[in-house]
Order: sequence, then structure tokens, then C-alpha cells
Amino acid sequence: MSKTDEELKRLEKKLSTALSLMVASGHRLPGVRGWELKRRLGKNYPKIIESLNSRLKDIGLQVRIVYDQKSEENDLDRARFYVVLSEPLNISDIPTLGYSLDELAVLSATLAYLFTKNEKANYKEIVEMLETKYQKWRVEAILERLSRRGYLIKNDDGTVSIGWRTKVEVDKQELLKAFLNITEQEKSLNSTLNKESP
Amino acid sequence: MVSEIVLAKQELLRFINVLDNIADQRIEPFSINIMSLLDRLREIIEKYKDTETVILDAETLYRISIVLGVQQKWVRERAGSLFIDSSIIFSKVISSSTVDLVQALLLAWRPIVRIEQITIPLLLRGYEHFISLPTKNRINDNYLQSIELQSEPLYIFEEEPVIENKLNIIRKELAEKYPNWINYWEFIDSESIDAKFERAYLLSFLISSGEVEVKVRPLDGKIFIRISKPEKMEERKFSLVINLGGRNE
Repeated sequence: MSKTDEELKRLEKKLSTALSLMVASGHRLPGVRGWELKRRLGKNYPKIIESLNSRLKDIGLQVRIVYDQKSEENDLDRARFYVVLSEPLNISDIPTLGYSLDELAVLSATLAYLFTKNEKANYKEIVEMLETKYQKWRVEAILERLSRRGYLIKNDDGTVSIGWRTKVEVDKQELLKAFLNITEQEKSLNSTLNKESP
Repeated sequence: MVSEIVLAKQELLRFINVLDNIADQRIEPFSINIMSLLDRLREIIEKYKDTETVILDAETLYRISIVLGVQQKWVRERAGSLFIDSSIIFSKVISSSTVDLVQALLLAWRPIVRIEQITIPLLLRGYEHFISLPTKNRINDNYLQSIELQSEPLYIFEEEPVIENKLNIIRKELAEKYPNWINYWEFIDSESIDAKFERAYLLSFLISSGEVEVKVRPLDGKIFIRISKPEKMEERKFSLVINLGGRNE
């Protein structure tokens, strides 16, 4: 075996270790800290993660790096590394994810509302908004489940803020853009209806 | 004059309360006019210069600085959120169908990929760890061969005949010296505390086996004993607890 082959094999081994650390870690929460990757992969772990990311993209996955606080940005050792899907899901994929349409609709509306309210809003306000579509007990049950899953945090002062899972999984700009697009769709639908009407 | 100061202080406390609510994001940050608030603060501080008012004024100023920070953050967030107001989202939620809302989320949602099952590499790591653990000291075959079984027991309970002898002395003493009822405490009383406890201990065996009869006088609680014929255990009706320690204190 040539030296290049040996190096390649070592790199492959490191890539598989990095992936198993991120995807199959034994922690209560998913993901792995930068310092844990550094300990297992060595100082050059950001390069290995970069290489892993390019490989994962081919199969519809990507590495996402999340910092606990804004002040910690660029401190990779303290950041948390996750593997997430790189492409949007289809509505037909939802049953396999273990969520109902209603639950995801509540999540969507709540997150969009929170993003426009500086990521924190009054619990009652949110319930009132969602009560226009669902019964109160259903809304409260779904919000409770979403809190347990880490998408939302129910604070003691009667407010709701976004949870750790939202920070990892949901792109704020994309969600708000998607909400704008719904408006455009509606407008175009309305204009079509107006043209059609005599 | 005094009541005016009190009113001014109450006003400052109200400002502090409102500013705290804004800082905690319970109220929208632009719901208060900072300029008019500063003007009012100036009026108060120019009029009343007592320590408490000055402190409250400083507290209010400190909170205004926090609220300004919150307002700055708010503006930045609003600019970053494509100028979408919460009321727009509210109306969108009302007018959109469930599927529309879900589709909006799906465009922005990238769920975490995680395996919760054990994997082959994890199993191998566990196995490597297991075999790397030091083995405990085990008895080898040579050691097993060197042991010879003894025909006699390793320990002889020498206490039994000693106790039996002492019980016989107690039986004899009771039968000869005290054929009638005798006070329990008088009987066990001895020069040393050790001897007293030993007599009580030995007596408990004879009482349990029914060789000594016990009578408790209900009026004064005095306990009497006398020698008797052993009874069957089934006929015995109650247990008796005598606290020697309590009696000695």
C-alpha cells in the first residue's frame, strides 16, 4: 500500500469517526461539541468537518454549526455540530417524521410570530392567534409537545421563546420569506378570481 | 411640598416598573417615548435633590439605557426579518390553510439527523474497552489442588456449653433460693453492671423457653418471676420487653 493510500484510509477513518460522533453520540441532546471532535480527530478537525460536509451534500445532508451565544461565534471548540437535512422535505414526508400536519402548522405559525417579536412573545398572545384555527386545548397540547421537543421554551414569566432545536433546524429568513410567498400566492389567486368573475 | 416629593418618587417608581417590563420583553420597546421621559426626569431632578430621589433618578436612567439597547436590537431584528410585522403574521395565520403553513415551514426546516440505536462501530468500541479492562485475580488450578478438605469442622462453638452451665446455675438458684415469686430487679441485681446484664440475658433464655414464669403487676408495673415447668411455645401469649438501660439511668 502506497503512502497516499494510507493517508486516504486514515482520512476515511476520521470522517467516519466524525460522522458517528455527530449522528450517534450518546448524549441526551443530539450533536457534539467542537472540543469533543478536537479530542478525537485532532487539531485539524475543522478541515475534516469541511470534507465530511462536502461528502454529505451528495446524499442530501449537511453539517450545521450552532453557537450557544452570539459572543461565542467563531469559537468552534465551544460550538455544537449537528448533521441536518440539506434539502427541504415534502409534505408527503411528514407522517414518517412522527408529526401531524396540525402540529407542524402550529410550529410554523408560532415560530414565524416569534421571529417577528424578537424571538420572544407572550404565551397568551400565541394561544389567541392559534385559537383562530384550532381549539384551545389542542393548541396548548401541541405547544407543550413542541416545548418538550426543544422547539420552544415556555418561560416562567408567561412568555414563550425559541428553543435550541429551532436554532439548529429552522432558518428564520427562509421561514419569513415563505410566509411572504404565501401572501403572493393568495394575491395572485385573488387576482385570478377577480379576472374570471364577470 | 412633602406630598409633591412623594408623588415624584412614585412617578419614578412607575417609570422603573414600565422600563423593567420593556427590558424583559413583556411590553414592546417602542411603546414608551424616551425623549419625553428624559425631559420629565430632568424636571424632577432639578426640583427635588434629596438622596432618595437622586438614587431613583439614577435607577431610571440606568433602565433607560437598557431599553435603548433593547430598541436597538429590536430595530436590527426587524430589519433582518424582512420588515414583516407580527400583525402580518397574525393575519397570515388566520387567512392561510394548515397545508400552507406547513409548506412554509418545510421550506425553512432541516431536521436533525440522529441515530438512537447502537451501531457496529459503537459495539466495537465497547468491546475494545471491555477487553482492555484489567482482569480480576482468579483462583488458578494449582491453588485449587493445594486445598485439602478437613474432616472436622473449622470452628467449634465453645460458647454453648458455657452458656448451658450458667443457665443451670440460674435454674438451681431460682429453684432453691426462690421457690415463690421474686421481684425481677432484685433477682438480677448484682455488684457489677456486667453481672447484672449477664443475669438478665440468661434469664431471658429461661423465660423464652418457659422454664421461668413472669408476672407483671398492673397497678405498679412490678415484675415477678418464679421457676416453672416448660410450656409449649404455642401456649405463650405475649412478649415482654424490659429496658435494663432505662432502669440504670
